[in-house]
Amino acid sequence: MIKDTVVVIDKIGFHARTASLFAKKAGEFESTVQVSFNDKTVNGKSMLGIMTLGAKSDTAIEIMVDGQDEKQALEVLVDLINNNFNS
Amino acid sequence: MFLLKNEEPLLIQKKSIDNLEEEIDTFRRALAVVKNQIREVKQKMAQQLSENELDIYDAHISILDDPELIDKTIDLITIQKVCADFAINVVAREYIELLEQLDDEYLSARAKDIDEVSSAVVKSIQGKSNQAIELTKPVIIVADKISTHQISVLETRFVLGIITAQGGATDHSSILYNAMGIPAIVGVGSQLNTVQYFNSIILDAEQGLIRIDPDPETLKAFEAQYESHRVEEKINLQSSHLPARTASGKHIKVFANIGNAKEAKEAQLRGADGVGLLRTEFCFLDRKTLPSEDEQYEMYKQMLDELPGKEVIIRLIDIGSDKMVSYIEMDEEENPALGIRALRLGFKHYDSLLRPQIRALLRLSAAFDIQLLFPMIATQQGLKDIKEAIHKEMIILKTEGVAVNTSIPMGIMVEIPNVALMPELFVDDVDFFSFGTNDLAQYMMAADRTNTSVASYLPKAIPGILKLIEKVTEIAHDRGKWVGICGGLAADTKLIETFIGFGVDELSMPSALIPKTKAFIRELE
Repeated sequence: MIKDTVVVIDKIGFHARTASLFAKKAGEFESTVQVSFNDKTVNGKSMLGIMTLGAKSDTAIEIMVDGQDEKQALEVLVDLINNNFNS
Repeated sequence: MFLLKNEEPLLIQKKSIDNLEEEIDTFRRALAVVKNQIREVKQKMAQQLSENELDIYDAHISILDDPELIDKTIDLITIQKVCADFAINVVAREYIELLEQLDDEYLSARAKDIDEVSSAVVKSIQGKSNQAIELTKPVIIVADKISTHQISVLETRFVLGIITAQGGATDHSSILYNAMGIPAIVGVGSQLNTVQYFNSIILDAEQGLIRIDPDPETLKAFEAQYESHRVEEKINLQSSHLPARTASGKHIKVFANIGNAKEAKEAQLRGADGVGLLRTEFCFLDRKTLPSEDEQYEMYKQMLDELPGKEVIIRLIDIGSDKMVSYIEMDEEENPALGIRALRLGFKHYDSLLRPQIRALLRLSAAFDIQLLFPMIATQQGLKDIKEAIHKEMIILKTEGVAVNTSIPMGIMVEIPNVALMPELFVDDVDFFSFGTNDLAQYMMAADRTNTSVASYLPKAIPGILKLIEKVTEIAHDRGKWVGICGGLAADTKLIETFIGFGVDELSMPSALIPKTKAFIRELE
């Protein structure tokens, strides 16, 4: 399992569109993806789960990836957030 | 004014079940059915809404695709042995509560989306259809809330305006009102509950003004303003009942695409010269059992009755692919758009699916001016098979003493590239060709038209499609056959002149676009 912490820059935060983009990307990997914010952890492949985090703009979230393709997955997902969801 | 009563709350009972697999199956099928409903509504709205607005429907679909939502529901069914409607409701409520607790206007609006789609799934499991608002005269609708689905299927000519107690500017409903040009004021709050059904209301959405029981003077002034606006609209509509000719006298038939009795009425009202595409899928979707021959006869007759004396082209069943039904065994396919759909499915379940439809339509062929259109024909054999099946039924019906038009015109959709490229293989065995430009584009570009990530490929098919339309029209006219277009391109004002130049005989489009299109054609040389 590997993890990393990133700051969500999008001006509304993790809302429907961004959550959906993240979940879709996460879903492309075999590894399990979890996202934590404020002591809450959800399935990173679920748009609904991510939305319930209520992660607003400029907040740090933790991404944990576990599985065969974890290295690549984490890199791609962190990039996605760092590039403000412009994949 | 029309006071919309709150819908009866859904009755969701916690029932224990024995057959887990069947229950999970029911759940999955309901998901598929609702997703298809959403896709259909999206397609219907595609010409009225922008890309961004259409995202609403994709957002709804992605909720239904959410792995957590699906897994949690299936877990609940499996572990607690409870029925599917109860399980999805519990899971959806969890998310709704979590989102509402976040105290974020944007995210709580998304809670409403979850509520709407999960309720639709519950209804589908319970075999109820998504309730439509039935209107019979022009009204202002006053309601606590209205779902995006209800809005999408509204009979807009009867909607003067909408006022709702709930809702906000970021709601998907508000976006739809704007896009559809419906004057609306939302989020008025509970004071709306005091409105009685006999009150008269002035709704001025531009000013954000509502007046209940206005004094006579105010009302008069407002009415005058409103009337002048209406007269203008009426003039446009009246000219729509005349044929569309260009200045140099070239005539092209402007037909309507319809899918139910409501749209048939609309077609008549908007001045359609006929119907170029009557989709029969509505008989099959949104229900739990196969429609019988008699049921279908009644449903088609109801639509035809709305269109006295009009030429109506009826397309045989095109389900499968993105339109699925729960009561027919459909195998999971890797590529359903390239699989057992339309007549391929019809022949697989001939006695229960295709035969009753053929018989129902033939029974109407003597009394109405109908023509039959076959979807998804790819080969000469496919065309031969369906024509033979129809001729066989004609003979049987005649021996039963039923009047049948034995020379009922028959044509095929040009949506599979093989037909578009080789019309000469088919031209002698059909009376007409009808271009389905949406499917044709999908197959030409190898780009699934329900997949938004490849949507940008589809418009690129237009130059190729134009080439094919020109060629097919030439070959068809050579043999005295005619050609129509019933896909999205038919109403594209950038292309209509080209179509007329090719000699295309008929364009078929959503009724709402007919007055505008006819006016446009009259302006052409």
